[in-house]
Amino acid sequence: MSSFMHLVRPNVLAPAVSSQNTGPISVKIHSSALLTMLEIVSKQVLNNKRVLGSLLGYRNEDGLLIEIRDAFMVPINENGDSITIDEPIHKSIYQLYKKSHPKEMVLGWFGSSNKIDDNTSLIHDFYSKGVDRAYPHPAIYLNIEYLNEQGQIISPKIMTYIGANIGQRSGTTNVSIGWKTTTINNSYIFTPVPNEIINNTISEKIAFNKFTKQNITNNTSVSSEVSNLSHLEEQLNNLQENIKIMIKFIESTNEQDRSKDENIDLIRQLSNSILNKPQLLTNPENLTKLFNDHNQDVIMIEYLTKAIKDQIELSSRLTAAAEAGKDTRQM
Amino acid sequence: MTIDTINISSSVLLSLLRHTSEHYPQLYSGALVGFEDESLIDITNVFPFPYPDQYEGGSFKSRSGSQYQKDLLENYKKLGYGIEFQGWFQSTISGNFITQQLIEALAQQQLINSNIFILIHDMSSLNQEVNLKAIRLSQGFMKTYQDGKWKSKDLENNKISYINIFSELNLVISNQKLVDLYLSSINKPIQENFENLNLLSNQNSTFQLLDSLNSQIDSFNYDQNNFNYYQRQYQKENSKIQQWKQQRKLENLERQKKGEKELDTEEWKQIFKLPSEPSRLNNLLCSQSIDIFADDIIKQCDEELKKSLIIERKLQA
Repeated sequence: MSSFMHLVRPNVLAPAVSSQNTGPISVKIHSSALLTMLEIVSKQVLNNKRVLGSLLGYRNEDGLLIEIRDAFMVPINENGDSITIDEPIHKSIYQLYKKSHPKEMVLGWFGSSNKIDDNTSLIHDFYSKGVDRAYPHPAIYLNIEYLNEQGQIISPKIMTYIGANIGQRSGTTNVSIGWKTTTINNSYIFTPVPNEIINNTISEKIAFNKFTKQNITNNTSVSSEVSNLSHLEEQLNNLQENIKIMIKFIESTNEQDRSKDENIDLIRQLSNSILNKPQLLTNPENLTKLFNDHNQDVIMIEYLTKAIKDQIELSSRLTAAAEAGKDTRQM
Repeated sequence: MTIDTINISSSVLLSLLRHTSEHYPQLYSGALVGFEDESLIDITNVFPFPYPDQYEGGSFKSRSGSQYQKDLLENYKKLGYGIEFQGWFQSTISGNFITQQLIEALAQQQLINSNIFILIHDMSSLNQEVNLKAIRLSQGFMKTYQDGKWKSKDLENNKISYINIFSELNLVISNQKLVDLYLSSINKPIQENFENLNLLSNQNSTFQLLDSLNSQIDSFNYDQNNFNYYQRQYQKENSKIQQWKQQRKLENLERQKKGEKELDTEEWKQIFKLPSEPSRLNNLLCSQSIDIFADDIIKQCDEELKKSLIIERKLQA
């Protein structure tokens, strides 16, 4: 986890950035987008060539909150200090993506490298200008670092940057970007901005938790099965586990620890949640009756549903038997 | 031989879940692309269709849907992925996904490539659990489909009943090594949601399921009425034929006595016509749908009873 202190806000020159917006920028990365990027970057591990792609998602009105929701790869051709980005592909994939995600836009780009070099600026410049790119908003650069200084593979570190233009516009070179040779500014200063990995829906959370758990318990496993697992059973187990931990903690604390503020707080919270009982609990007889009635209802529903299931099966078998009988009768 | 293991990458799974869950209660579908290995199908990308579905399977045969699918696939091929269309996903509620349109579209694709499949995201317990299954139409069903008659005899010959319309495939989630590395570096699991430990957490969805079950039973009965009508007609005609045969027999006995030539006993075939059996396809689909609804309702009731028992024990303690 990296922590950030925004003493100086990156000074970004982009038409949509108003000078009043001085709040810090925060980036939210959907876990699905992150895993997509990691998969794309995996290609780089094999042939050690730069791989990059476009970031897609939302940006709120003042441009301070950025949500990266998806990403796709864009082919490039890197040759020394020149780099060609396949703009037509970026454009057509983005246009197609836009059809099914009309509210999303290009936010910037992602890549994987362990240093920021001239080409980083070139690519950033490409994403900062022109239609179907981040313009008129400042582009985001997301870097996935998976190699340490010794060139060993480490667990990927995700950093997000916002690039600020520095120096004169005359920093021009004849580098082709896209298909055209344009005037480009390759002097950017990259300021890290904080990011956070999120799962938007509970379904994603359930799946993501499963991935991580599977990963911890069985580190060599590549596969895991999500379907057909009673989630309730698992949650009950989790709950039991939590209670066990709690009891163990309470039992293990000694006299001195008991008077610690945080532990007293914990006791207070626990006793509050036990004492805070609904009105119904004051009348146990009534409650028991309601409770039993409810159970009877559920059993009734279950019983009737089973009856329907049987009827369907019976109907299917009877029809088959009746129709099979017809042929012989005719003969 | 068909390939019965589907390998789906974790990013595809998350993207798919996000798309379907975010748009709930709207239904969505899309294309799953990837490549075929010797023993498994690898799904590397997912493309949701631009518009929600009015009913399950609605986008599969629409012109805009298939054009979109084609365009995206062409563009992704340019990225150097050797990917092909492998199947679809469809979000649904319990047994609702069994529609004529979905079956028809799937059957046509399976005729072209027998490995095509469909991934069903059942959202009936949305926010409580993730319910996914990969299925394709069974071989027996495909044979009957190609004959196209759907008579009881055809079903019998191909050993098809509503239970085995589909064959279920193994669904495996796999990660790239880099993803594994990343996942194992997260030491803080996301806060669990204990919502489904609430006694009544299934209440709304059980309601909804019962409702849908009712309307499926209505369509089942509609079809069954037609079938019953056919059976009655058949019986009526059949008894007429038997009568006729009886009469002719007597007539022939008469003639025999008189030494006259016997009349043809097979002549009834020109006089009477037995009604032919209507297609059993609708009945199959409705039955399967009802069966799935019933299973899901029973499952939810079971869960609720399980929770009830726990509470009951606490009440008595």
